[in-house]
Amino acid sequence: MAIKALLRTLTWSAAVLGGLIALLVGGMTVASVAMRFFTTQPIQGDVEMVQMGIAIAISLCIAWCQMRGANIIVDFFTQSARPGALRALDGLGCLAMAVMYLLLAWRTTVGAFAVHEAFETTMTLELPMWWAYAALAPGLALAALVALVQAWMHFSGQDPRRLHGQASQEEAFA
Amino acid sequence: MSAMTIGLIMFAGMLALMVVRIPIAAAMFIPGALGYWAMAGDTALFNVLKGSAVARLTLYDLSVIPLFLLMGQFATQGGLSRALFRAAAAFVGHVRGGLAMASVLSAGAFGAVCGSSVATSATITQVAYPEMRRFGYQGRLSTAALATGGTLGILIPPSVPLVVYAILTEQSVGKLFAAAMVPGILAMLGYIAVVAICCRLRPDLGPAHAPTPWAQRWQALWGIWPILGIFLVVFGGIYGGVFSPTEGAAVGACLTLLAGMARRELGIRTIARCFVASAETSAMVFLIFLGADMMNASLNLTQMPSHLAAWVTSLQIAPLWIVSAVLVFYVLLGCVMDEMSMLLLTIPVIFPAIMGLDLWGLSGEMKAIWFGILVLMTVGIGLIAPPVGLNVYVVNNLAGDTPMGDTYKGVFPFLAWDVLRVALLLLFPTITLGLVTVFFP
Repeated sequence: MAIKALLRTLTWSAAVLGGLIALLVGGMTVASVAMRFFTTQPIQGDVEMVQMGIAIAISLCIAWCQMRGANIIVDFFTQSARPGALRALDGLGCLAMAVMYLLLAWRTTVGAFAVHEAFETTMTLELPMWWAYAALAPGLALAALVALVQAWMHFSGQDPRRLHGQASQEEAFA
Repeated sequence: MSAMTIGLIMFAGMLALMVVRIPIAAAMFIPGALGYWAMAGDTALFNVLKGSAVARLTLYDLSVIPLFLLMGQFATQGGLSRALFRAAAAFVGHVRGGLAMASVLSAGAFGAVCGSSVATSATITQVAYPEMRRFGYQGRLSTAALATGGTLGILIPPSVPLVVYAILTEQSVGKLFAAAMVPGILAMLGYIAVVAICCRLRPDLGPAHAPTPWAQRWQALWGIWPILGIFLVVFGGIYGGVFSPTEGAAVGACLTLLAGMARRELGIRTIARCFVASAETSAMVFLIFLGADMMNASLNLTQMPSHLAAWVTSLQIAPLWIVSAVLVFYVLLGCVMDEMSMLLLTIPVIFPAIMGLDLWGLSGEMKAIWFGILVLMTVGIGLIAPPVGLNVYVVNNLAGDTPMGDTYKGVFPFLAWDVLRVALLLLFPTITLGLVTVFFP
């Protein structure tokens, strides 16, 4: 059980961090817009910081999205299916998402090395491009882990919603 | 195996996976990846995947989505919806069906700071539904007005689906928002008229009550100036050329946060709740994007979209009928699918075909904008139409004491206006494009 609690705290914290980064990026943009308006000189490389910041923010949110089961499914055709069949299908759904996360995490990591060797940088600030690649992989990997645990819970007849109870959220707040 | 056959197998595989509850993102991603492998080999597939996540997540125009979602969350949790409904109810609440009209009005106004229809429905329902029940409104009028009013969240800019359309078709987000303005307001006024007509025919749906004194009306109006201010700054800034839509979203998110904090409704815990709620939706949208990207990369290898476009152009059918058929197809698809997946799945395939048609002699850009608004309106229909209107589900769940069947019955008059409005926009492109030519001469 300790592992599940750890996973929950990790995922929730990552999502909050993602939101915070998005908000900070927003604040930076506001400052840049104000500077451009009043002094005609925006913050250098503001667009690059938005791009990189938002990308990292979203990658941190993916695991939470998976944990909450927020990925869209079509449930119109399986409305009258038996609970056991639904569990099996949802388990397969989690496995399919895990395949997608793992493939993307793996290839993005490989991409990070390739870009690092090529010394690619952003236009204005000359930030190394491999940062963006490397920053996305952990979020994707965490999402894959969550999806695999959920799949296992589906197949072994446990309710995967127990992974993120309301009670545990209140704990995390306190 | 020819590329065309592989393309068809991929498409069939995707649909099969969707039918059995595999998340739409993976249902597009996995057949897309397998198809790419079959056509171009594993090296090519792995090379594409190396950069696909970074390319999609760092796209500047898409950064607007998490920022607008954050803004919508701050507005939702910051109590702005309550102020809006109170003001609208103070002015029109006393007439027959007035509270239902106030729901539609406040949903429309809330839609001006929120880009999602489900969020708009949910937040207005929480403040408006108990009031309507207290004044003896029938459940079916109340839930139907709230579910329908919620679609104004995406019809009135900012609108997350419209941003997705803009990215997919490489059009300007600002111009699409301008184009959505008049049709969105038209939708809102029409919904109010529908409430009025329904209550005239069946006065027991929404009884009239004593008017609010003027002193209270002005007080309630004072409560909504932050929303008006935010809307004017964000859209004034975008159309006055002060900032881009992404910058506008950042400004909007920060201002809405400040407004909520000033009202003492946003503390640390509530803000954290806003973060995780927008985290969920942002990630969901981007995952569908990643799945659709893989699918579309493979479909482009098969050249199916260009074959389809050539075939459609060669048809001896009036272009307007083709567009109408596409819109009907969207309504049907909307019955089983959510708006985001629908757009991401179909626009890359259908859009080139539409652009090949001669429609009212419009230029390419204008045609793209006009079609985008038509699609947006049609998507709105899918949100409230039986058997699985998403907004109806959300509102019904929150309301609790109105049967789903009643809500669907109540929704029908609103649907009639939706269909009529789409027909109007189809026949008179000026309604959509007029404002675009004013703002971008």
